[in-house]
Amino acid sequence: MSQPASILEQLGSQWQWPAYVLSACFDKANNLAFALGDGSVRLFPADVDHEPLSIKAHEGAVLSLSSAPKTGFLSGGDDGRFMRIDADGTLTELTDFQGRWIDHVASHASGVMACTEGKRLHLYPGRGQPLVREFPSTVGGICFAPNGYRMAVAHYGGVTLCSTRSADSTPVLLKCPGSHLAVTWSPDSRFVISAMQEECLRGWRLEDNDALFMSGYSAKVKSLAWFNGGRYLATSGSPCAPCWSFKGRKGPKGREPLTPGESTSALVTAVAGDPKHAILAIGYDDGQVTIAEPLRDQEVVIKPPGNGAITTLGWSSDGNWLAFGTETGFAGRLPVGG
Amino acid sequence: MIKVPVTVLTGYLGSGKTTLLNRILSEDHGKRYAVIVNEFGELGIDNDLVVGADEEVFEMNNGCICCTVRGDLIRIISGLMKRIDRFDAVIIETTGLADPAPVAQTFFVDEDVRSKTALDAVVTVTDAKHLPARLSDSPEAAEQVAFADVIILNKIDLIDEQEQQALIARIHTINPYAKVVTANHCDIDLSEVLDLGAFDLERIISLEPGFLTEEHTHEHDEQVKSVSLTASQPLLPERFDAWITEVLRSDGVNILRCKGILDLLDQPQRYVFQSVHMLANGIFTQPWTNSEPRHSRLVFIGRDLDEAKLRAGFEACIHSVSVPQERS
Repeated sequence: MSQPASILEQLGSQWQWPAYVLSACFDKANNLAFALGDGSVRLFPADVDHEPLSIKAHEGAVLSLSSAPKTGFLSGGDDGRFMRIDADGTLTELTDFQGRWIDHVASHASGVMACTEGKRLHLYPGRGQPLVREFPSTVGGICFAPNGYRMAVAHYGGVTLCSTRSADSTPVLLKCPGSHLAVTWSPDSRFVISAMQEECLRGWRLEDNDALFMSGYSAKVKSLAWFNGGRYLATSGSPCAPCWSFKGRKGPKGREPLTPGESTSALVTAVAGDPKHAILAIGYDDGQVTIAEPLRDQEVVIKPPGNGAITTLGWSSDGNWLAFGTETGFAGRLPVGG
Repeated sequence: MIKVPVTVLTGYLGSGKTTLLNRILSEDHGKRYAVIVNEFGELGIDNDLVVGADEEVFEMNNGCICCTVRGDLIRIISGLMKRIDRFDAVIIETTGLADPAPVAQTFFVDEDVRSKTALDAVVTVTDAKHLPARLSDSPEAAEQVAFADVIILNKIDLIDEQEQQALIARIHTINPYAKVVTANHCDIDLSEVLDLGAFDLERIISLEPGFLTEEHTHEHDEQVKSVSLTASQPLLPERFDAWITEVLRSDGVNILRCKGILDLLDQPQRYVFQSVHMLANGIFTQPWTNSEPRHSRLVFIGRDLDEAKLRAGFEACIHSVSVPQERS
């Protein structure tokens, strides 16, 4: 007997590639890129009549992918190269740090681009000389402030906020013992949240440095996603997708998170949210992808278990598209608007 | 899923570590290795994947003061796993001054690392001529010997038979369960150092100590040494569990490694136990057969061990029979 077709099969597209899918990312024009463990980037132009492209961006594995300031993408690899990939597939090498790994890349709409190798953050302003900053340990994660003037850098011992424009301004250290990995800045600019080696989140309300601590996870939190206009932060690392409310002045302090997507057998490995609405995509280590409306307690499975753990989810900035990838090279795209 | 085996290679500069690495990489064995090194440049092979590490040791916030891990290894191994189809094993090179414990503990503590890879063995390469002096003047050298599953006595031609015997005896006072392999230019059979499963509890079948010669055990007052405990009567599981937990909690900083194969009361299977400092795990493995004597053997390797206290604690776990046993 054949299984009934999943929502993904009915409405979306799916692909099988030979390598681990590290990241699925949309740019502002809805071009979609997947970064793979074989060094390739699979590019799907927003114009669906345009053929998908397979671009050999790196020698080894792609380690990081983000959208570029306008359209197109940035990627970093274990071959030490920091690359720009235009929407038409044109590949430009921005820098080559031979023998190093480019662990993280990011960009801001204002034109600033950033990458890290080991302890160093390299900032490329739209014009002018690149800036280099060194941190006490390997950088665990980076994130631009919503206005692009500052960047949060996670490392061992805390998170440092530094200027993206001037090498002279003094960085601010948000101190907290332990190893900080992923980091995110709230869309309203008021909070910085980091995920730690020890299966918990730490956070700071920047106006008064008030500290937040969110624990109870069963694995490291690797995926953080703001949704519903920045009112909620969804997180992975648990058998559900805890969503912390940042609606009030105090943020999630003293409040229980929403817990959509509860599973008895699987762990949430990736989350992505609709930027405007209270809708969330949840990916699990058994390969399932669910779309949830946590405020209405509604959930629908769009992809059943199988094809390896979900490693990445991406939601387009206009809210119309969702993409995912798995550790066995399976990937898909689904329209989710309306 | 088959976990990728990881071999940790330690040893001082000049001991022959790089020679061994080059041999592992260049020999025709049909396998692809990823090698994590501290310094580039010395390796003559560029075919395999060589990654530079930063030896970033950090503490975990888990209330355990000796629980340090290598942050850079977590990052590198997670990165390597994204290209998992490309290699069969990982080798981590550490410098002579590095403490092997954080490397080993990374494989106990970090779930991502633990789910994809398994620590295979710690191999220490030593210079046979200079090791006696290093053991006397450097605590790091003694700890590397104490930590090792395999010790390669390289440049063995530079010492005579008598010196060799004395050195092996001295190594065995520090670490009775290390396999000692002699070599020149690291000309060993690679099966002596790779794919050993030294940390795989299922594969630890027996703990047979290396020979001990009394005169040598007293010749050097070693700071790092071992304590071996045995019992021919079964142990009470609850009592053993409570005792070992307390020992590792209070003395785990000084206990580098501990291994045991135990006969627990009313259990048909062997209980195999190991720890690195305070991090421990244990499982039931093969059943005891009727033809073999059931007994327990436990060894602690560490600094400043209080042998009398450990022995008394262990003996208090032995099931004492108050009624005469039926004899068949």
